[in-house]
Amino acid sequence: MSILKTRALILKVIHFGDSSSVVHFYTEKHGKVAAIAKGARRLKSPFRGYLELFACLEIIYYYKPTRDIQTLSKIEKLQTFGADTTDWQFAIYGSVVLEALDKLTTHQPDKAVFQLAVATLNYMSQHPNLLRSALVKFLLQLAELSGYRIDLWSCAICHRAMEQSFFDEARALLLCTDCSHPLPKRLSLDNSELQFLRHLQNSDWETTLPAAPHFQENAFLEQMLVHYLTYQHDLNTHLKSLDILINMINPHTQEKQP
Amino acid sequence: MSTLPNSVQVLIELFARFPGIGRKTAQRLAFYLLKAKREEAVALAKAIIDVKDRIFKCSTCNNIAEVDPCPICTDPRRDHSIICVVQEPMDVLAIEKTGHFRGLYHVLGGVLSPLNGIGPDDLNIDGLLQRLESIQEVILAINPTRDGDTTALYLSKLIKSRNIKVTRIAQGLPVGIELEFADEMTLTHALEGRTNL
Repeated sequence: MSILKTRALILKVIHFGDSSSVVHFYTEKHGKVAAIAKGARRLKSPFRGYLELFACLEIIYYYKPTRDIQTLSKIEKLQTFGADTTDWQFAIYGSVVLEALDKLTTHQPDKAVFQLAVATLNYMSQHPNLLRSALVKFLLQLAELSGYRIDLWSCAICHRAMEQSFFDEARALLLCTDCSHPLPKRLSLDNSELQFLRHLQNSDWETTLPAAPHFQENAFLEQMLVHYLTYQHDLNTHLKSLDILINMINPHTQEKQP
Repeated sequence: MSTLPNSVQVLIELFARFPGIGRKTAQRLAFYLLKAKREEAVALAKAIIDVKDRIFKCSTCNNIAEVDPCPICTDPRRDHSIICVVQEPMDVLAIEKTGHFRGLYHVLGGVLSPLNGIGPDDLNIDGLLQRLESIQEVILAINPTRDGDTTALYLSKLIKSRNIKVTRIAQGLPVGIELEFADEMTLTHALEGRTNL
């Protein structure tokens, strides 16, 4: 048994027994880790108040390779995201980030993915009017860090430059008008949406992200990117939080530049 | 292979499904019932069946009750201009024990939890909005978790748009705790919610 220390984001907390919790983390050094916090729900537990979503912690845990669930020893809170927000939408968009981190990444440690998630939640905390842009940028960069950068400039089949694009759901490809023509089911991205995605793909978190051009029915861009990631990772999963986002966010809401 | 008779085995397994009951405690409970008088066992069985047959949710407040509407909703001595919104029926019990609230209740049946796929349609929010016509204040007594906070913010936006006062129960230090053991978040809330003396 060894003692490990790392920075971690809480992905989910599940009640275990009368007073304990099993916490799923995405850690900076060891990837996804599940650990039991014994007695965490007792009034005088040192874990109490710390095991909440949208928190970046430093955790110390006992690691045993034969166990699926490790034992949490100590935690220290480094940062809480969106704690001062007065808008419920932060939690909805933030949940999509956490669920994507949980379901659309491998078990291998990836420091860059951890840093991307922290940067995204940080940006969402500081720019509550650009939650959509931050989420779309996160999904684009997650694809890139996973080795599946999306080509937003040229058609995936004929490689000609695209002014308008169509998403082929069956093969998770972005195609030009000609190549997508025979497809029975194609989803359209107009020029403003393509420009928006290109801008997000090439910008960094230091600059102000562009506001989304308009909110499509059913959050099409977000759904398209999640579909792309699940296809590339060969996963059969869907994000519950994305369903809630589609259900709760008013389709007529437009983001505004600060 | 177990040497226990099948009926005792089944009873132990059923007790072991209860929250907070492990296999050993389940065995103790089963053997207690074996030793107990028949009337005691029958009374327990009847109480369990009664709970399942006679208890249902109040169509007004969603709290558990034997009559519809529940006694709290129909009590003329209570203040019918204030509603206290809680997550679960057990929370009604906790607030009633204080004896400091004489208004009405509304049980949501949970909180918004996007990671668990729980959205507004899964909660009793429409029922709350339908009750707001003659209400002057809504108190949100929802657990101070992140999901609870999100639910409170969501409800507050919906209710405030109808020009009704919305308040939330204070968050801070529990009675008897020492400051050095309080986490930063609790202390921050306690400082923000400080009151004049």
